[in-house]
Amino acid sequence: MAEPASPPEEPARPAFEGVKAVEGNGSYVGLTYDKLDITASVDRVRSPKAGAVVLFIGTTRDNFEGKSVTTLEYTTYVPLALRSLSAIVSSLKSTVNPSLHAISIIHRLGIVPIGEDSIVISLSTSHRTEGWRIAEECLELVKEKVEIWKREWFVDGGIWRANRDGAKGVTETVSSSEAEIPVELLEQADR
Amino acid sequence: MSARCLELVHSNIFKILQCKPDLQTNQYSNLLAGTLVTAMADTFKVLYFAAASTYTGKAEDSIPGPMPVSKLFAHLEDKYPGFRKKVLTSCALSVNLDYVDLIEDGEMEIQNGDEVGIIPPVSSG
Repeated sequence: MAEPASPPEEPARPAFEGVKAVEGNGSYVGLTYDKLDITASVDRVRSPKAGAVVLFIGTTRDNFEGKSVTTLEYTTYVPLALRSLSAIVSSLKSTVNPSLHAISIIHRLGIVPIGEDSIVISLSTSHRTEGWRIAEECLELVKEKVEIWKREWFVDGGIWRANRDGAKGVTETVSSSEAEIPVELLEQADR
Repeated sequence: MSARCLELVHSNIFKILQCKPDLQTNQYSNLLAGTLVTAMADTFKVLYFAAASTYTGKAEDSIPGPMPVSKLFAHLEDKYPGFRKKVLTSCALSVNLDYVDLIEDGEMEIQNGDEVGIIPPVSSG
């Protein structure tokens, strides 16, 4: 076994520049290595038919259960993540939620400095109650399904985090400790 | 060129002409060249993400196909000892962006030119 690795001095080069997005019909999903623009996310979903805009911002924490996190990075499978994000907004915008006017999800990739934003979800609804509910449902679906992975670096190495152990395609039972895989190799090819 | 390759090329030419009837000759040649490269490939691509990429030290591999879905994890275990127990056991598999079930779709053949994704448990947010 190799010694515990430390985060790369130079972050992996972004796989693309700007935003990779799929949009249309009141829906927007995007991935970017850039800082997230909250105002743009809110403006994107404004609608004269709406009485409420709900905004959720996920930020990067400096600890995991009390243990100091020094660096945090996200990686993804771009076409599959965009497909899954699109499927989520389509399902939320279906007839189940007729008062959802517009919705936007954008997730940041690469190294995200502690305290900065990793995900912004914004949506507009006729009334606030369904807005809160749909925003929560949306976040849960994203965390469960979208092909984005978070690696947390501690002083003594890194761990690929799992939102839910073996959420997909599990062939054997895995314990939670096995689902967190220590990083033993410094080289991380980011896509 | 195998019968399957020819079939692939024919169906792609048909699709190209259907979607883009006003295509310029050079654009058409480029698309056709891409199609031919895929159809004549003698390997399929396996993409590694997160823990899978860390374990292999790579972003991807090219593996000679065709190969049934059920054989892939054993093949990768031979290539990277310990990979199955430490990583693959909790991973899902996508073929050309569609998830496949390791057991139900076990007989399905991964074709040369296909893109296979090794998908560890996700952790966005």
